[in-house]
Amino acid sequence: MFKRAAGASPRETERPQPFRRVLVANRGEIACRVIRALDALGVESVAVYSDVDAGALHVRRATKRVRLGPSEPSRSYLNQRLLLDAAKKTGAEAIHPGYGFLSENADFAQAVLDAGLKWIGPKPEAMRLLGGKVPAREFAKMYGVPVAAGTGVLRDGREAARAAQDIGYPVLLKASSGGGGIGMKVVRRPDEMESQFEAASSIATSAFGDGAVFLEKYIERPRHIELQVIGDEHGNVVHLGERECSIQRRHQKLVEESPSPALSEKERKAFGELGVKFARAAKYTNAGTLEFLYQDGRFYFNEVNARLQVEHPVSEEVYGVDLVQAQIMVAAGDTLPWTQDELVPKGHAIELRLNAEDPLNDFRPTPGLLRTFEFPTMPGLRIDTGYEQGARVPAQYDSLVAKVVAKGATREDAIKRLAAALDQTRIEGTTTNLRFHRALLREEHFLKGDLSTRFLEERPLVEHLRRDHAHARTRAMVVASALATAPRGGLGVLHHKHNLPPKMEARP
Amino acid sequence: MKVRLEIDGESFDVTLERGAGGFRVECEDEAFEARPSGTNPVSVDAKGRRHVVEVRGDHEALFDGQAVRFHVAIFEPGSSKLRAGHAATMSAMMTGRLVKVLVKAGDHVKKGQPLFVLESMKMQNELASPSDAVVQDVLVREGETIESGRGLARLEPAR
Repeated sequence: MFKRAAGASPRETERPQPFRRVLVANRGEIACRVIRALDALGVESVAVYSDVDAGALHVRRATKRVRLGPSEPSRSYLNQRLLLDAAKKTGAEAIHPGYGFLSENADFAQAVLDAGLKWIGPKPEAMRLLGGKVPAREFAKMYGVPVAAGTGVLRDGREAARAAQDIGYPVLLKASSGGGGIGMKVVRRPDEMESQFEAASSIATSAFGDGAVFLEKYIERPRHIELQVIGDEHGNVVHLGERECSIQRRHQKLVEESPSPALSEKERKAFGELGVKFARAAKYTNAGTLEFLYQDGRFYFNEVNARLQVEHPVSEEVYGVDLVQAQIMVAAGDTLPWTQDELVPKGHAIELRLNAEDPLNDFRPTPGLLRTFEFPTMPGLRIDTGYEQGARVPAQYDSLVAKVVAKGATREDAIKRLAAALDQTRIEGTTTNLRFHRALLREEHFLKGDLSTRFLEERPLVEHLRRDHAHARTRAMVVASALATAPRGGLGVLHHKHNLPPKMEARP
Repeated sequence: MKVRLEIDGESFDVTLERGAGGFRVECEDEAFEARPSGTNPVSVDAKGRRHVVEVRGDHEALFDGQAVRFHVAIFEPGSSKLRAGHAATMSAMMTGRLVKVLVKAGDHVKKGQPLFVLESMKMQNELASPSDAVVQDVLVREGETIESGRGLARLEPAR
């Protein structure tokens, strides 16, 4: 059932079940999230998995499960034929792609439709129009949406260098089919262009199966502000306000919040209207996000994410709705469960991405065992995760371990709640960015809402962590030498005890 | 001996070499002499200070009166110092897919020279030689999935 905004009509409670069974073509927290929405709608779920995920949470939460293949994404979660076979075999009527993997692949969406199934996402035509960054830029320009100076798809580094000369350095190389900042490269000097172009194109090929690269003027100190929209097949489009996602590393978001502390009420209203106009012009259906950079009171269109996003929970919390349930109903041909007037934001929500990565080692990934994995429960706190204690974060997929989301009456309340939650969160076994988030929640510029995508370069947060780490290291070295002198049998005995194989659970 | 010790969820790779009256302790870019005495609690003299470590359970200790949780994740007894004339194994410090092997047996390599490229969570990471050395043996092949701690190559430090 939907949590309804005050004054919303009772339409949504009278709806028939949208589907009998839906296949979730993803893994991790987002697969669990979609399965939860399906459960709430009384729809059966089909999980798919690769070998390394055989025992994963999303597999156990689903009504049915299908093995896809080995752990490499190309032989499992990215394999269109295997996914369609799984849907056919289990009698699924629709596919929800989550985010990442095939979620923005218009050919797959078309193949799903051609197989007689519903695609829980935008129409393939809209995905083609807006999913590619280059066509989306062109389309945005046509409708008067402001964009930064840039190019179309570039042939090679030489052509890129010529274009950059015209636009003026620094420029940003981007994968046309990209997402999540993968393959993005800032180029500050002409002599860096050839090698950076090659690198961007090669990463784009391996990550998205499309090496097409273009470039844009690099905006030096923007905020990242985006608008959540959702449309149905009956011409209705609404927005669920903006999210600010300025705190990023390697062009990937770490913290997201709604509303943005930067926008005035007037800007907020105009931004929402601009986004809805744009989505309507594109005949956009289902959920999507329009991403913009914002600097000195000006917006620059960045891209459309024609899918559900990682950070959708902050909008859900502020608007008191379930966006994934709405996606599923819209895909079944229903009208949107709310009108724009019924969508009234309340309070402030912030999401922290807990990743298996080491902030002290340039945020390098740290896949491994979650020997301890404990979160508190408290009012206003939401944890979305695909892992549990004793699970292993595999090296084959992304590093997201959990999303910690707090809602408060104000931004300050939400921050306080998050800080209290993280103080009671315990993760052991593999390194995560938990300490980073704890420090961030006490950082003065973050507290003031003084954010930009350069936040991590400008604020000495990582240096503070490094100093704390040095203290902890000395302590570890002293403890190691104490343990080596044999209390409780010495290091060898402790190691043996600490690494005994887990007890087998009795099978029924 | 080598130990990967986790303290309050933070992981440290510590090398301990027995010496006169104590240990030479190394971790990352820090090194000092530690002189433990007593059994439990243990007094440890290090960096001009005396610390008291009391082990209270398999995972709990008091460090100068403060509770800490610890876990011995990896333990390798024996000598771990790279010594001229003795080959040592270089191991992977993260899990991932080995996309490139950049050396072969017999190669002379410099400290910091990338020997392997390991792809983990869609990112490519270069694994560099810990010292000037001669590659005795490469223990892995391109395309293999490598678990953290797996031996990659045997290196004999250059004299």
